Amino acid sequence: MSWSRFANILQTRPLDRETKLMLIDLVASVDDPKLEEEIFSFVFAWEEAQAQTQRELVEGIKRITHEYELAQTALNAGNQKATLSIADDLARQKRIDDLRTRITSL
Amino acid sequence: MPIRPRTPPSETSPAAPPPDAAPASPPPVEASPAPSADTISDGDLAAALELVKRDGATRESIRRGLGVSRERAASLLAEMEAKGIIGSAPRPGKKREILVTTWPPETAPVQKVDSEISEEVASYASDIIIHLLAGGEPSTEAFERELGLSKDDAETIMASLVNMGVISALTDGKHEVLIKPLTREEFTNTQKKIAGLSWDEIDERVAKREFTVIQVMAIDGMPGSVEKEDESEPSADERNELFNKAVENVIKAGEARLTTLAHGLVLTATQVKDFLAEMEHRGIIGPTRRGKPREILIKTWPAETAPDTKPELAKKTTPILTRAGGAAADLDNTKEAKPAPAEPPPAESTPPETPPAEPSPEETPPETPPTPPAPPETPHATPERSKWESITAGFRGAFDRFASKFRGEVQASDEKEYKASWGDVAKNAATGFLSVAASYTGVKILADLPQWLYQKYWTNPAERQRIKDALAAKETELGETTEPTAIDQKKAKLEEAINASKFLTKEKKAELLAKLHTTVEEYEAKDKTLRTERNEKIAKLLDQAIETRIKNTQILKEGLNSALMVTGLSAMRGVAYGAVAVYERHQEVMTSPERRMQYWKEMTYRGFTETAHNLIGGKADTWTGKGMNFVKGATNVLRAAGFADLAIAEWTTEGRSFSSVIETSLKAWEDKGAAAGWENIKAPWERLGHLGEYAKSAVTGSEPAPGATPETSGGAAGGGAPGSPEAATAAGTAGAAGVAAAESAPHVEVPEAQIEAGLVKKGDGILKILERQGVEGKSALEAAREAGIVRAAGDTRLTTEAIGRLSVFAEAKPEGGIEIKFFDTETDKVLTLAEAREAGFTYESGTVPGELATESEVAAHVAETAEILKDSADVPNDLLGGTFHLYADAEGNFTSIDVGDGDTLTRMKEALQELTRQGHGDSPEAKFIFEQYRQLLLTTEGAQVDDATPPPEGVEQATQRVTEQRTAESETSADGEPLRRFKGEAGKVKFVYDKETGAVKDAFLPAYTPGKAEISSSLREWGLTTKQVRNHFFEGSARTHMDGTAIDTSHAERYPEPNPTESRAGFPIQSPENDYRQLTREVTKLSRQESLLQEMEENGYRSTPEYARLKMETEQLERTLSRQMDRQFHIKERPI
Repeated sequence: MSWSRFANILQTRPLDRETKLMLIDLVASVDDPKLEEEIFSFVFAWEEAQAQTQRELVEGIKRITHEYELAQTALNAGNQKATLSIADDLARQKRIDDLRTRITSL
Repeated sequence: MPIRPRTPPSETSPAAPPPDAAPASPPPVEASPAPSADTISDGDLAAALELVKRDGATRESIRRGLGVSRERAASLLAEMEAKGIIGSAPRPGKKREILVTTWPPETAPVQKVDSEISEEVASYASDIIIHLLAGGEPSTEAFERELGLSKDDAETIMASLVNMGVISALTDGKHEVLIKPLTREEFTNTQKKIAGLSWDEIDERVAKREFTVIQVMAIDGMPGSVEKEDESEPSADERNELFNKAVENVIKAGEARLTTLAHGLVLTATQVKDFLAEMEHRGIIGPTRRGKPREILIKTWPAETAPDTKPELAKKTTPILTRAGGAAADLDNTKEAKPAPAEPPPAESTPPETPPAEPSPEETPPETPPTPPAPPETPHATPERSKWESITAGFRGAFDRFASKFRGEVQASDEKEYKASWGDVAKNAATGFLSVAASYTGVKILADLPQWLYQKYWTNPAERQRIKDALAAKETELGETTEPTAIDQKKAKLEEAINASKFLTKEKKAELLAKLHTTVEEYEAKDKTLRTERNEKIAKLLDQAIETRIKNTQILKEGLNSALMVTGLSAMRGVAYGAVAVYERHQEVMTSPERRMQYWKEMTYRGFTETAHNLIGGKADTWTGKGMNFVKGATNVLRAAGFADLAIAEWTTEGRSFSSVIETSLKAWEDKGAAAGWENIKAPWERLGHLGEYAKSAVTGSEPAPGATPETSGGAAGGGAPGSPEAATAAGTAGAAGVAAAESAPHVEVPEAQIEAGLVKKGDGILKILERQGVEGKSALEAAREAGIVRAAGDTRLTTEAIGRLSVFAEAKPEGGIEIKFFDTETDKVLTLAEAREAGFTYESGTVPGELATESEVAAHVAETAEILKDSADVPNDLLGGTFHLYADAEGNFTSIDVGDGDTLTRMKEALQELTRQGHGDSPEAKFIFEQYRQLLLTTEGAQVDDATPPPEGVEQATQRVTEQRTAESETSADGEPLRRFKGEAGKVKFVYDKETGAVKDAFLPAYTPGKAEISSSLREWGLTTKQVRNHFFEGSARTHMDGTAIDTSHAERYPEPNPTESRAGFPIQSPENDYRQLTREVTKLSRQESLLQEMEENGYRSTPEYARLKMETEQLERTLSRQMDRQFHIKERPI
């Protein structure tokens, strides 16, 4: 049982005020430590469920971002190839011109 | 049905109040109470009451608030208890109740007023039930409008109806009617249950909710409380006859109310309401008036010129049963007893004062058990009255609790303000997850997420726009959009090269440029598709996660709501609104973050608990226990499945066990054919259920739930997208395994290695830990200053609690620099400095940054135990090459030592050796160091150095001949077990024992920072005010003693300016602030220790070694402080 954790939930979790009020209602009206602990367990379990959902969300985002990055890398590679061919073309023209000059000077 | 008598309070005594309905108000007190203690007046008690209302009913609160001695405070407390102002001394750890709101009692006739209100409102019980059964709206507005209740009464009764389970708690802004007419079978069953019971027993069972209001009212013949089976229309003659009778009832009674007009008639609830409306329409009675009864406009009936019955109204009415004999008999024989219009209305010959014909044994059919007779020993408690009282008692119990305690304290508008719609929950959930997503994807992606996601959760376009704008602003701020893409750069370069090429023909250039543009366009199109796909996927993921969070939150909410319902606590919600409002308001205004949590626990929560506690009678009640067991076992499930209303209705209808309620509800749910809907919510619920089991086992240390095999950690992961049914089912079916796996992962994404590196070890300080992690000393110091860890007048230190548990690490800030963070490895939470302090990992002390406070250091605080030794001018205070420092206070008295890095004992020895070598072996400096050395040796090693001063042969020899302090006596507490710690109202004290002998070698109060009120009250014991002490330290040349004599200011170097060239720049060795703080800490500590001693005595620890140790240390502290007070303020003796 952790008061600071409970207070932290009330302070920081995305809960509407009504739910917070209900939490306080219950905890405040029970003076049996065991029951209080049960309530805490329930609330903490909820927090854990939320944390798990969040972890799964983060994992999902990481996975999607990774997939995107892979696809992006592939796209970049393709694009690189295309731009390289243009650059090659440029260079080829230069080489042709060089050859032409060399031939002329022979 | 007779007119219900408004039972005066004295007559209600036979009705057993509910067990949890002990009046919250104090028992009636004589108008002129004779104080039992001569010296305690009503004025004293009134002042003390105000204090205990504010700070709690403790001796300390009275002592501090009134500035009186402990004895006087104890007397006041005892007198308050004797007079019923506060409850009796609770068991340890629990608070006393405050039983009255004002004192003396003659100025607070709360009880009387509330009782009158209760009776008045309770007398409307039948009207309200009829109103609700007839489909009337369950709202204060409707009660005012249609029943003539005052606003206050209507609000009060609403709360009671909720409390009694007649209507639901406020859900989505409205209440739901939970009662319904009994079926014939239910009615018969109730009759059987009641048979053989005395009315007292029935009353008791009503109070325990084994019978519901509607059951009792049905037995009592309440119109509409039993389902009618005969749907045939009554003839016009029949109806007229009944109407005439109803009018006569009203005229005779002089009251135009639903119950009155139905007296002696068997009508449905709807018919009763229709009759009332018709009476108004026909000018027999006046219209409804808020807060006032209807007027009766005629004196005789039938009036000679009475208009005809309106045909439309006649059509509206449903069949009416005439009452033939007792109500129960009638109801039980409805099928046989068809309306008999030919029969004369029995009520014609029945005067209204006649009690209703109760189902007497003679009238009851043979197969129906007789209804219980009135107990002969209580002649006034006729069956009818007892039944009535059983109902009113239910109301009154709630009223007494509700009205007398917080009526007027909480406004109805507060309740209205806190309606949380689905939209609120959704927005909360969505906002939370958007910020999570932003931290992983950057706000740019978030800003680009599809519009539908925002539209779904923020229906208001303006709100939506605000969020988008905020994201865009953040995006700009972070510069996420300013970077040119690689492809743009490449394109620009190639374009430049093509255009600049001397070797390309114009045509070739155009061809290549076209090719380049096509390539880039294709790339951009594909890239856009990829990003759109990614954004769509993330949006869906977010949507699913938000949905899951909403569902989970709703499960939580519904579960809590059910818990409140079934435990009968819902009427207290108003108090909670107030409590939270107070909490939130104070949270906003609190300027001292470290006090926030303490404030919450000590003030808001405690205040509310006490109020709430009073409301439920101030004692643990089995009903709450039962209710909570029900909650943990079943209600969450039921609520989650959306059929808890049904369950509650079933439960309140029959006195069934919880398990049977679940079975009934599940069956009812299946019968509804709503399996598909159940599937949607099953998985999240299962997950929650398993989480609950896991959390429970984790908390209690019991065996995990079946299936909780942490090895199968893959259970929850990869079961589909978060929030999806697959994921939820996977998590659910994997049971606690998935949960365990999730649990094992840190909640906060902090690298393990970083946590490990920052873990506090013995001898660590905050700065030292940071430096160990490679943070430059200067940066660490700057960050510590910024965080308020290191201040000009002190610093934050780590306690022993932090060792092996707290991790301190630095994190780079986006704008540069570092931020110091605390991480609790047990809870996997990143803590703020205030939270770390609250959790006991840090405390405020000293001027030396980053030094670890050991238990011995706390216990053997220099100023408390050491002789006051003055700084001598010719002996250096910086030793061992400037790494060992001695500090003194404003008067030149040594206060503390910074031993620098290394083993403390060794460093002290080395410093002493250095002083001896320089010929200062017997200087005050050496004595001071030696005293600290001796204390440390005693506390850490249990070794006693006999010498009081550094021995001539040197400290090493002295150390060699230390004798371990072993006590022959058994140094354990009375029951043979060491006390280890004692927690009282004034605080707690920890004891340190010798590992070998078990002897108590230290008693110390864990480090804390005293509050203003505590400082003020403690100083008052010395006849000082905070202002005086502050002036004394801060007013420089104007400093004088309390008797007006000038203070010796020969120590000109007392408050030197900081030397920027020194490594500890910015941390003056001494300052007025330090001196002030040190004195106030000692004063408050003495006060606390004395209070704790007294509490230990009261708890029977007087003969324990722990008590002896604390007493010894307290006496030492008092001596030291007395010397200081004499020196600083010329106070020779403590006034209190």
